[in-house]
Amino acid sequence: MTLRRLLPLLLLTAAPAFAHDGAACSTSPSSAVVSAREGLAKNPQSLDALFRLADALVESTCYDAAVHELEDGEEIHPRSPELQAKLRTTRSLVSEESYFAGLEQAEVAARVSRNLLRCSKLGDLNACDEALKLKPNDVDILTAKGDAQLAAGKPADAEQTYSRARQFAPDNAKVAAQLLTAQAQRSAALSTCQKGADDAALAACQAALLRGADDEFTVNTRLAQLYQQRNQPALALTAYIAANTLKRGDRNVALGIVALTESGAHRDAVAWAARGSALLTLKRGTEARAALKQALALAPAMPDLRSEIARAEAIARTETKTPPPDRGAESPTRVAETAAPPAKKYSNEAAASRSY
Amino acid sequence: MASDPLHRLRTLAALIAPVLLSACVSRPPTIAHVHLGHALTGVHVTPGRQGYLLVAEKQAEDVYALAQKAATGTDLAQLKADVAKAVNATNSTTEFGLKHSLVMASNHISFAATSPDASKNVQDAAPIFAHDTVRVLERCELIGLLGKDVEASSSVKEAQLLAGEIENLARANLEGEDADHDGVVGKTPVEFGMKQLRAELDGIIARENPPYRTVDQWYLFNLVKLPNGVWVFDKLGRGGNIDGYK
Repeated sequence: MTLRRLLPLLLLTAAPAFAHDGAACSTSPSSAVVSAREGLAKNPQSLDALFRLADALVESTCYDAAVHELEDGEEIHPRSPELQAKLRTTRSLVSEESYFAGLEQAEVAARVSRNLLRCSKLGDLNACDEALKLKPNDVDILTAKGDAQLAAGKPADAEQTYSRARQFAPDNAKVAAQLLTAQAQRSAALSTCQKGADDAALAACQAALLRGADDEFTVNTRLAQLYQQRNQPALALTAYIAANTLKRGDRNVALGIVALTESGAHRDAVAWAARGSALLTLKRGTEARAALKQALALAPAMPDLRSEIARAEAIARTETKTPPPDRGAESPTRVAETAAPPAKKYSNEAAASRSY
Repeated sequence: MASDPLHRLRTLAALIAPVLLSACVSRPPTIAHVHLGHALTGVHVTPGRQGYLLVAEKQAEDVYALAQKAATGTDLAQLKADVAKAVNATNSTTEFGLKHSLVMASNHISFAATSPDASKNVQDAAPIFAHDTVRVLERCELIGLLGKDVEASSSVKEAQLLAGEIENLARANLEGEDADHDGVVGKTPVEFGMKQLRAELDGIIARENPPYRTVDQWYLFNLVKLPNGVWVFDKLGRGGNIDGYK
């Protein structure tokens, strides 16, 4: 139940029920206001005409304007008890409007407080995000979210959150200290990510992955290798594609993408484009051209495809007439008709550890 | 004939009549003061026919006691039951919880301010009082939200933590808080609890001229609003018709 529903009693004697529907006073007057104003202009001495205008303004939730009109009327009707009563009621609507605004703010504040509490004391990241929806630049909430991310073993995410908090509070000592803590924890995670090959290393890579960081390519590549070693091709391909997007021309990444897309299981436009780009890196122009054309057919608006196709054609012209061993991408078969071969051991796995 | 007993009795009656009349017949309170009396003294719809602010104060005490008990609970089911009672005493409409009672008290002070016989003091103070209730109402909202979290919780530790927060909010609703950590509780409206709101209303009453006097129950329970919006006392004593408030 909203607080507003608890307050029907503030509907005072002359206040219409719709006075509290939350609608703001419109800048363009209603026809009732226009008509009432014309009536008052014709007969400025008429108290009834003045009241009709005040009522019309109140109905349009223009309480301030109604008070102004009635106060103007006091000059003409200085001793009218009816006018004084009307003024009292209308003034109360003005203060009531402010009161309702305060209550609505209180409801929002209570929700923010609840989410902030859950975020800071229970490490509830969903609550952090809910609180930030309402107050996206609130340093306390950002700091609490960073703390929750640190507690959840997500130092990269925490670093990003604290960095955002620092934008709004550059002199906040707690934010600065927590940012250093997050950076130190991410650095430790990076070390584990690069050295190990077990589940702890995979978790460390996930924890250390930071969008926009200098090492984002390296971490994505390492993640891809670790996923590949665990026979998780979809995740591995996603990580390789992310790495390839960050830095074109890496041979190990290219080998990984080509190996993972040979099965035909992941041949959407993005996968075709990545395969084409990877084949370009490997100087396999004919195959690259075919893959890129598939991507173009599926997603004509995808950027850079046409220039890459041109590059592939240039390389293809220099290739020998001997067809390469991989014919998958050269096949004219439509994407949907491509049969997925059985899972296989990937030819690039041996190269995984050499990415570093 | 001066010794005529009947004449002496008449003379005596003529002498004491004004005294008796002045003692037995007092002027009725202003409509504004009756509305204030509904907030302060009594209204026939509340438990014990107490004034809305009195009910709100009692509920605030009950909520705090229940929240204290819940916060020290170790049995999840019992803890949840205590928190549910605290939430009910905070937000129930039918049982005049703290929030509802406080809103009603504020409303009746607003009624007082819009009465034809309202003093400037009441007219000026009513919107300020209404505004100053908002922080308590916000805490009530938060108690309700945290109460739902406790109800959904499967962890004693989490439920205890949330109950502890509800206890803090309940204490602040009762006594006020020191949100800005300046060492003074209830210094500004954002720190107000029932204690400060009571003091504010007492201040409004103290400034009244003519002075506010405790309103007799008959007036409190027989104020009615006519169809034309005018408040009058129901001299026929049909009893407790407060349709005007509905």
